[in-house]
Amino acid sequence: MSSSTTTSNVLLIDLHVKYIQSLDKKRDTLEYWITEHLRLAGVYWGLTALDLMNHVDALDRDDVIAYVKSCQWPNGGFSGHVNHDPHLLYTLYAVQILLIEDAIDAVDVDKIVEYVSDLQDKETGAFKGDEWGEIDTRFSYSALSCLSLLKRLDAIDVPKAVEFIMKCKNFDGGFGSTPGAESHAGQIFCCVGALAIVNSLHLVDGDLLGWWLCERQLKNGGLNGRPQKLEDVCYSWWVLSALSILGKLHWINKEKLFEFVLSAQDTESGGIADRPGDMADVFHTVFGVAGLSLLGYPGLKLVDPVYCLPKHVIQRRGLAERYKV
Amino acid sequence: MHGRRRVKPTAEAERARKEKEAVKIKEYRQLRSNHEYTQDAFEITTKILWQNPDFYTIWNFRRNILIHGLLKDAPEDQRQESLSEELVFLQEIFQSNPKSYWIFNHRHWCLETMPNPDWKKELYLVEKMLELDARNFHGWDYRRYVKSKLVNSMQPKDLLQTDLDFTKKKLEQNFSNYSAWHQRSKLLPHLLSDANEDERKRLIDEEFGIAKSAIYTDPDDQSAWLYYWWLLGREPHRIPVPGDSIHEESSVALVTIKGDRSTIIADEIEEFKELLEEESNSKWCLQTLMHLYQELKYAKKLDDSEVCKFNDEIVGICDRLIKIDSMRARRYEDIRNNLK
Repeated sequence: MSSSTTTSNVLLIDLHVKYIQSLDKKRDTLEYWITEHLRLAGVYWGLTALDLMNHVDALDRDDVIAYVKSCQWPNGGFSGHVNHDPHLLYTLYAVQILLIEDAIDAVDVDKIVEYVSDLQDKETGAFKGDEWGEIDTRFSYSALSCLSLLKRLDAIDVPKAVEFIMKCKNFDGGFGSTPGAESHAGQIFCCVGALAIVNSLHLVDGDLLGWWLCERQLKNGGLNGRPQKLEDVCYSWWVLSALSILGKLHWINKEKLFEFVLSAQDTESGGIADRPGDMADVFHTVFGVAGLSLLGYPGLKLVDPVYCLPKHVIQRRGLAERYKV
Repeated sequence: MHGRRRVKPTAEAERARKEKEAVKIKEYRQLRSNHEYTQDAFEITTKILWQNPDFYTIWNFRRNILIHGLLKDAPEDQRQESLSEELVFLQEIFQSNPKSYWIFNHRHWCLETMPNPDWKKELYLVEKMLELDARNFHGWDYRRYVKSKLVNSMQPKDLLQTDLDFTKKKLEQNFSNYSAWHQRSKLLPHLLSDANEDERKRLIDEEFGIAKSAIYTDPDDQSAWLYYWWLLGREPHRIPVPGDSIHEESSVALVTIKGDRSTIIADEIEEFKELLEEESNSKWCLQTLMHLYQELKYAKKLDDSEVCKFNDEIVGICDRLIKIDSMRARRYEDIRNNLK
């Protein structure tokens, strides 16, 4: 075995497109089968990356729509794969995919709205991930983003939802998964994004949180998700999107981050890894590409930091920009 | 997928992998075709979850087997025993997957479902776990959950004390443990609200003491500095306040328990100036000084010449920070350009 160490200082778009296309053709690997719970998420990650790289057609549109439809349950929710259980996370992914393909009418939207709004806890305003009842601000974001994209925020109690998110705010201006939980860049994206969707950014302490977020950039240019943790390409999205929504994207060093993300590319087989030298995967590929897009990397379509969708999709949907530039 | 090194296998290794995995794939797909609520199906879920603990549908299926199959109409002692075995299984599978949401999720369910959950044992286990990885946020979240369940069997004051001791121990082991500082920020307001004036003073002095000793031990470590900033509080009118009380925490100036805030800030400035003489390139010390000058401008009525003097100090610090911490230069420029 030899370790591949070549790096590139440009985004290898053609190679990444081929990599994403190849993901559904690895049925002779055990990994393909034991990651099937992530299949629908993988389509969202792959398709978003492709669209940002101007290759949305690299996945067959009819196949994508048919696959998403096959994951919808009679109760309106979507599962991570055919015959898996419905969950709020996958319901958002399904809606996002269909909007990229401009095909939301292919599914029963009213049922989706019903599924999502039923997951809100009337007392606390929090959202459950599914019928088993796990609570997390990731689900608050999923619900608000999903219903906003469907233009049906009227179906839930928005002030209560906001109240719950604010209970998850911490001493450093950041947000955690539940009241009491430590700030984490992923949760901060969810909470700041959710607040942006319902025009409540005035509740965020932008100076303090912006400071905490820009301190996530380490000497090697990469970003971590919490103090004293390792850098990781996916935080190029979680940290940057939040900074961007707060209008403070310039508080980090763009060139250094470009360098870091590009050095995590697999220059032979395509895809981007969590950090240089590691195995690439589609999750880090999309968040690397989306991060580059936010920072204006040449040749990429612009991404919307709130919805994590190509900006043209949000514009086509007629939704307002809910962030500062 | 995190932290898996990229290696290019030889053609021979690739062939061997494919042959080996073909058998496993066949087995795996057969496992998935079973949907009965039986002991056999239960054992199959064990096998699948060992391969993939993030397969949430299988956890759901496993719970349904227990609810509608194996434990349906079962006597209390059998329910207790089966669910205790379930906790052992979770502990084993956790060892190789310490970051899976679904494992914790299932553990919650087991404990909420069993007739006699042993929360004290859970607290012991999770604290053991935090010895292995003191920053695992699933662990800290789980510990908070367990403590919320102990409210019925322990005095609130004792619970708070346990927490105070635990976070202190964690910080003594490593001052950089941000999770522990965070937990103290949740704990302190509760402790203070139950305390009399003398106790409040003692608590807040102790807190400043711990933060300061961490800062002096390693001035480059951000954790204690951030906590110190919070203790010191900020002038409410500098923070965009929405007008309701749900996020009061960041505007609470705990320092006022110690005395007059502007006098304290002035003293702190002198102290950190001294630290800066020893650690001239400490960006955290510089940022803190800058912050203290800003706060003093708002905490106290100043005449124009004083404002000018403080602004000059701030500009000087910004210029130094731009050199020392060039990655964040634009933030320091923003601060410098927005001085009033």
